[in-house]
Amino acid sequence: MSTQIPFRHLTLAAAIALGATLSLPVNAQTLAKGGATADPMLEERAPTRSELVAMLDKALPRAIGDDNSKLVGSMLSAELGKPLGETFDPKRVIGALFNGQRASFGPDCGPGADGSCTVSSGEIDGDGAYLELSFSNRPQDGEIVFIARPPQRKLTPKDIVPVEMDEREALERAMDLLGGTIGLPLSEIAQIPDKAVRGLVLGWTEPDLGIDQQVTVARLVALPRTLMVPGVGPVAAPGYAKVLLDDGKDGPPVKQVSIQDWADLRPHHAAQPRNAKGRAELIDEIAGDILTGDPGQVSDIIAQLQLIAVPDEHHALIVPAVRIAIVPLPDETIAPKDGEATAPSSAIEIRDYELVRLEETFGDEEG
Amino acid sequence: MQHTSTPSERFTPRRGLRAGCALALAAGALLAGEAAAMEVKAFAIGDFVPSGSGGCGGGDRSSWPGMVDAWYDKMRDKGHTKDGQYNNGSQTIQRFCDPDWKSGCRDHDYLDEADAAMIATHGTDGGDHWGGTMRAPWGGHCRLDAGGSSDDMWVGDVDLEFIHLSSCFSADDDNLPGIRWAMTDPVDGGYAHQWDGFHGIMWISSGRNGDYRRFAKQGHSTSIAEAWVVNLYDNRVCKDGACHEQCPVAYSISTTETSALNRLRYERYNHVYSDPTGNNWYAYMYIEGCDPKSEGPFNP
Repeated sequence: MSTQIPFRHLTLAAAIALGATLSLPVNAQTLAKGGATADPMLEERAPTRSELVAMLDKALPRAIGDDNSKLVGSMLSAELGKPLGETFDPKRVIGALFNGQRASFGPDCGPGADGSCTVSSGEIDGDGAYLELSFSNRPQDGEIVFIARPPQRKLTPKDIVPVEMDEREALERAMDLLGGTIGLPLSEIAQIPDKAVRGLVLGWTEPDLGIDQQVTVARLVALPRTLMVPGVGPVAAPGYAKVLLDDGKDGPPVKQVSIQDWADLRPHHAAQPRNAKGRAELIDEIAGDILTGDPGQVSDIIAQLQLIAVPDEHHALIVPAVRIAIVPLPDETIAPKDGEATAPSSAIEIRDYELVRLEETFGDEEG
Repeated sequence: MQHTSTPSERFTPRRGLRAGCALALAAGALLAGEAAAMEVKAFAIGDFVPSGSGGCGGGDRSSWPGMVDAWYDKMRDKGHTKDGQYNNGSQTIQRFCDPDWKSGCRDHDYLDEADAAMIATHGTDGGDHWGGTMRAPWGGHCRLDAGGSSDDMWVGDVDLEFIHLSSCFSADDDNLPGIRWAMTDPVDGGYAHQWDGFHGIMWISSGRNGDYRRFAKQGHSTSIAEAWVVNLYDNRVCKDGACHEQCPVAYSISTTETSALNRLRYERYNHVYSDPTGNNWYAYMYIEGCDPKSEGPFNP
């Protein structure tokens, strides 16, 4: 059977392999054989090692060179704010966000307890208003969630009104909340992404009646942790803060606060700049790792400098790294016709690779 | 399981309810506000098999089962019953398709036998519906086509209320009208409550297990829809200052816009409404302008 591949199916690597010069369509030589895949879906081809090396070399930040000892040293010197483990005060948060409601501490709370502590007001299983603050009993872990659930009522479309708060105000209020009430070190948000504030939308549709409504009801502020690295600029680090806000017409205006993985950081004592990997060594390591499994097709690789954290008894330890996103589908995926499909692979995989070989250590020394 | 009623259904009794629904509604009204343990199932593929080896193709994503496991474990921690976890193995459409479509399909023993389920696999945009890549072919099918013009998946006639898809293109903006057809069985009747998926490409990493764990936990404190959309939204992968997004979408169905909206706004794992009795309306929650890889910004 000879089947034509629409242009959207071709990856860069596949195009190279097929010798295609954009004189599409071309015949699929590798389409499923023997009736194993009756569905019209392209059989993929993983990149060769040389193709993958070329893609990685193109994707890796230019800051990663042959000698990265200076880069590693700089990343280990990333500017840290006052740790959240020292600045987070649950009583302050309850005072600010529970609006005077009686807060009940759960049995899972306390310095010696494992897991997280939950403080609440109202019935979690009920249909009334409910407030919940949960946080790790190890404050240095940087895990905090606040939820304000409005009471259930019979909601009709006329009750769905647009949020009046604009994006700028939402960002300002979220930053005030995070920096003031929660105690998040705002200096650790060294770069605010261009899509930091988004609208949360409710839509409802009846196709036969031609009714199709969408209303933006809240603002979601999403701020990744980024640390300022001397001589490099902002570098992504573990930690993510989200705040969901509305105008407060059906309860508190702060609907959710989520602080994830905002651990207290220290430089890793076993990460020494002299052990920094070179660009070629790193590319070789990453290519080998990706090809250890079967990655499927790879149309693009996104790479960024990244500080990763290794858990430790008291803190999380920083290790300079590069984050790789392996993208299977091209950007210009065209909506297929009914019955067709894009490709067997789709999900982007994210992997981290250390920029430095960690030295073996003995004993309890801590940097 | 027991159900509570939506506000509209509690105050405005419907005609034509199937006997099972009517019983559930009555029981739910008596038990309004009470939570009941659900049966939970998880289906994940991380190790895909090349078609040359008898599989369905697809690149390996070893972290995927762990992400689903995080949700599954947290659901147990919240008091629900682990009722089946299926990683890799013989993952074919047989577990997800309805026997009214094809003899030998066994969704009544797997997907539709759960109250809440999560499926993790590569996904495709089938034009007007989602298609999920299976690990092995069954009956000539390597892809589970769900909704729209496809007929493979009809859930809700046995038990399933909540289906979560950790899969690309599982709630594409242009496929919203068709999702509801996977949430009902046109032969036996019955409707699922909610479908949660992604517009465009989603992301895989062991570092994202926490997102799924938090989703499970928060789906008891606030609505499942809000827990899904807020927790699974992501803007952290950037290149040259341009950040890509992961775009979660929550979706409900019902016979009126009021009921569909209330389900989306208020339904939780511990506050489950009676089954919908129709799907002519659907409601959805999403992040405005969310712009993932390999798709344009969400624009229903």
